[in-house]
This record gives sequence, C-alpha cells and structure tokens, in this order.
Amino acid sequence: MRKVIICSALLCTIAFSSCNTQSSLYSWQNYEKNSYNFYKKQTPESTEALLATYAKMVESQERSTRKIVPPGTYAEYGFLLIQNGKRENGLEMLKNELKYYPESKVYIERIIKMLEK
Amino acid sequence: MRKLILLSLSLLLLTSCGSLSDLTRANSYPEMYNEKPGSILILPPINKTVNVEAKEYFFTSLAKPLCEKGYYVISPFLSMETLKSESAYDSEMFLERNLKQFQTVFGADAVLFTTINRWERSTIGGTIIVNVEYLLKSTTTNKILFDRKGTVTIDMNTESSGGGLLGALVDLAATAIATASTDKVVAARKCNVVSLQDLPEGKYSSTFDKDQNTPAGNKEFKVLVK
Repeated sequence: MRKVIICSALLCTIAFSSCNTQSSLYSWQNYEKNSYNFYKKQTPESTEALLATYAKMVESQERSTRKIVPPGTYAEYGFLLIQNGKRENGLEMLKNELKYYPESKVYIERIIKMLEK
Repeated sequence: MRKLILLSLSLLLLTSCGSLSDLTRANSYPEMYNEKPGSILILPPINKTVNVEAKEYFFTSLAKPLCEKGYYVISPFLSMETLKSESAYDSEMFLERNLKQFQTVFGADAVLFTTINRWERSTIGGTIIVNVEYLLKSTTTNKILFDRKGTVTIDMNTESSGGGLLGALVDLAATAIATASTDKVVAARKCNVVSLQDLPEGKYSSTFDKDQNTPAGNKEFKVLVK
C-alpha cells in the first residue's frame, strides 16, 4: 500500500510539473524591456540601459539552465560597443559569439570583416 | 480498491494536460523532425494593418521565445541592419522565392515569416485583439516547416487588486498606466508565446527530438489570454 501511495505521489508530481512551462534556458534580465526601448528610440539613456543589461546578462548566466548567454547576445553587445567607440572590447564580444555559438560563423565573420575594413 | 482509485487519479492528472484531439507535434509538423533546423532568421513582419508600429512591436519580441525553445536565433538587431542595407526589408517579396540566399548570407537553416492581419484595441473592454500568421520555411528545401495562425485576445486589465471599490479604482489606474504603449508590446509577447507553444523543441532544449508525441493544438486557433 505504501508503495502505491509513494508511486501515486510521484506520478502527481510529474503530472503537475509537466503542466508548467519548463524553466528558462537563459537568464534575460531586463532584455525585453530595454532592447525594445532602444529600438524605439536611440537616446544616450536607452543605449546605456541596454549596454548595462548585456553586461548583466553576461554575468548572470550561472543561474540559468544552459549557463551560457542566449544566442545573439554577445553579437549585439559587441556591435553596440563598437557603435559607441569601444572597438576592441566590441570585437572581443563578437568573437565570443563565434566561440559559444559556432553556427553564427557565416554571419558574424561577415560582420567582423565589414568592421575591420 | 483504494490502490486503484489512487492510481487512476494520478493517471487522470497525467493526461489532463494534453488535449483531446490526436494532433501531435510530429504529425502536425513532420518536416521539422526531418530537417531539424538549428538556426533561425526572423524576417521583418509583414504588416497588413494600419497600425504602423505593429511591425516593430513584433520584430523585437520574437527572438526570446525562439531562443527559449532551443534554437539559435540570429540577432534581429544586426540582421535588420543588413536587410535594410540590402533593400530586403520587405519580407513579402520572399514568400514564394528561393530562400537559399538567407543561408549564404546569414547561415540560417530556416526563416520565420510573420504576417500581422489584425491589431485592434477595444478601449472599453481593455483588450487587444491580434491575428498573426507564423510561417517557418526551410532555406535548404524551401518547404514549410511550421505554420500557425492565431487570433489572440489579450486581456490587458492587470490582475484585480482585491475587489471592492478601492480595488476597482486601483485597477482602473493600473490599466490607464499600462495602456501608455508598453501594453502593445506585451500583447505581442503573449501572442508569440501562445502561438509558438506547439513549435517542436530546438537543439538546445532538453527535449529536443523527444517531443514528437507532445499534443499539439489546431493550426488555426482562437484564444483569450490574461
């Protein structure tokens, strides 16, 4: 009898947890809000806020399921840094995108080449 | 007897999450499992509404849900620059064309078209009605991998703060603040989450290639979300 109860309890737990959406693969911080604000209006404030969000995202991934930054984050971070005069730092970030996401090769190498011209 | 009841109750719980139809991800979207696209390029939405901003709201809101599904998503911020410079910002012209060039330029296995057919706000009810079509096409075979069309009614009233007159007043104020403009992008996000729910998991998901039997909804659907 006890076995059955335990078994049922286990099944219930599985059932309940399967209804929930699975936990986040990545940590997004305020990315949605700040990227949208920046996209809508590029001001020094919205740029600062987005750069700060990227920095936080890079730091906070230990707590996420995959423990690495979401696809495209390093690329966007790098691009925005370069646009704001931080060329070396920006290129390094773009190369991080290549390192963590090799499937970005075709596009990111194209961008790096364009920027190095 | 008690054993039986306990067991059957738990079984009932297990099945209650699924739908009653026999649609699954695999029989709805078999090409996803054949091709297993890893990287997705989001094309600028095709806007059929008079709301010019709808395009922007959608474009910026698509990357996160696709990443969370386990796909590599090419940064929309960067691809937008490239598409604009190549005069390819109007996605409609690519609907019937060979998509190979997106593989050559972006390294994308698939491209996502979205068409916004309806985007209306009813001020009285505090709802936004959105009708969006999602179409994922392969850049290798040009085949349709995933397609869904949903009418999503989003209730923008923030959750009731406890009822009573005071509660109602607080709610009113909250709705007024929310309608500033952020609510439209919130609506876009909710619409994406609901519509992309049936998209098979991508390679970075723990259930990649194991979700064939997950129940799927109809390709065309209507839903109300809070």
